Amino acid sequence: MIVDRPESHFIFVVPLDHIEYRYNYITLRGEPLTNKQYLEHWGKWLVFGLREEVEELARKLDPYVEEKKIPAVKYDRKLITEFQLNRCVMCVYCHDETKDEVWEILSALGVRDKAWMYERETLEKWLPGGVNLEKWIQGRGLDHENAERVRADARAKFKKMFADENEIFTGVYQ
Amino acid sequence: MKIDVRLNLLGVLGIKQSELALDTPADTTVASLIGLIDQHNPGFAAALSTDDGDLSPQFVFFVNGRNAMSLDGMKTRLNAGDVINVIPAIAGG
Repeated sequence: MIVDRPESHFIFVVPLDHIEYRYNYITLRGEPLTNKQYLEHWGKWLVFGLREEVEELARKLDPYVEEKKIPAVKYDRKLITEFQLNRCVMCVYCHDETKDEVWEILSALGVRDKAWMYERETLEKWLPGGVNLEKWIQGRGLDHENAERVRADARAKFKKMFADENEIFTGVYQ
Repeated sequence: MKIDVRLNLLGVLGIKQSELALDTPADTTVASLIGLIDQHNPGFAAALSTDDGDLSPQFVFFVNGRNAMSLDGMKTRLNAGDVINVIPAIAGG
């Protein structure tokens, strides 16, 4: 099911069960992942394209998400011009044990870019000192005080999110 | 040997050729491939490298879908038929 919440920059493709019954799609063979497992194994294939291209691909991926062959997908609502990206980015999420099966689906649908990234790598980039967070701060021209506040918030958010490595991972609100 | 290179979302670098099919020597590494790409897109090598000669954290260099940093970085050996993708780190979600 394609979930388009206007307040979010991202558009999601998730199983209808997730919307109706809070089904947790961050699993491996039906078992939800702990925070530790999430950081070690959860990731995404990155796909790039114009908005129309990623939208069309999202429609094609939707049935695979409903069948739970692909856990979830998210993509940019629009180009992120402040980062000078000239394409929208789509993230096709899965556990690394199933990434080859998911890649076969993507490849059959015409995806040619092959770029796998662990969520751990992405999260590290959004921690203080990480290239993404620092670029984000720079792009908004924040003064020292506000930049430090953003860094402290990021640090606290991630610390809280992964405080207990054996807890079931509960997701990142976006 | 043939290596396919796809340079995505690199408007910031003023990329001229975003898809390249390169014929490279057998002992090509990530570092030497970056040098070859630079011949088609001047400034590429400077942007992709740190002062210490490592891969810049501002970009992600994928070899057959795997981040070269999780392989052998600049020293990663490439093979015939490899597919290379390069993106800005900010595009990784």
